[in-house]
Amino acid sequence: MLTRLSQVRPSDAELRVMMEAGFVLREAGKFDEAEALFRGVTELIPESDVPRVALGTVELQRGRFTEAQAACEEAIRLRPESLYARVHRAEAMLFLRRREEAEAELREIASADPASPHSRTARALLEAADVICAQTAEEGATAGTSPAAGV
Amino acid sequence: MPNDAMINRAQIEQPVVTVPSALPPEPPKQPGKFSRIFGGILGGALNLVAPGAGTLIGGFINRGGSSLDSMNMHAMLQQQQMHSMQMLAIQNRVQTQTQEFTTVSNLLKARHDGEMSAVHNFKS
Repeated sequence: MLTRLSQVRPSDAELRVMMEAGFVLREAGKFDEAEALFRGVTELIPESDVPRVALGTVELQRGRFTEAQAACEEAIRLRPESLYARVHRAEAMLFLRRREEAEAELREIASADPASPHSRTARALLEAADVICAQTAEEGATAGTSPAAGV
Repeated sequence: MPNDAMINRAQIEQPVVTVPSALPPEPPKQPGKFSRIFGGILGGALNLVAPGAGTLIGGFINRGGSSLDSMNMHAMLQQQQMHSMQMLAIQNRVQTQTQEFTTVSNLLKARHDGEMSAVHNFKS
């Protein structure tokens, strides 16, 4: 199976369709299916950060912030300059109540390339930090210490 | 002692003596034409600024303003004030929620744009 998979060479357009299908599944709450799809893409293009960050976003929406951070760290290890990976790692940190670290990282991303869509995400996260932290604190108070699920 | 005041007041109060009179009882004071017109206009104008309060004040001027009306009006104004405070609190909450909604909506849009950009720019 692995031999056959390594021989598969999907085009960029096919990979994009797979990724978008994964995002649709994730938004529909079908996290297992989205995860399977993103893991498949990771196998097809192991050198890319994008499917790994996508896996991280699935974990974020599941409310597994430590796993989300780990997935983004893995993507950063592959591509250290990836703003996409850094912004979602910072988002995971925000949900893990490491606000100061997260905000410092987000400010750095926002100023790194102001025109980039990831910088816009960083700015939007900075603006939403109060709402996110209030929600995680509230849910942490009612359900023990575990932080809340993603926005 | 708190009861002293009650006892003292009862001792001080004089019995009310009614003197019989041959004259017919006075009719209640009727408001003048000016009061009726002015009350109507003022009530309408105030209704634009503070809904409800205008009707109260206009009605008060229309009727000539007896002490009973004044007491009723005071109670109604208090109620009006309470409602206004409640309204302000609700407006505040709605405003906060709208702001939060906008913030989260902006975040979701930015996140989506970032994902689409990442997907459209990656090369195998």
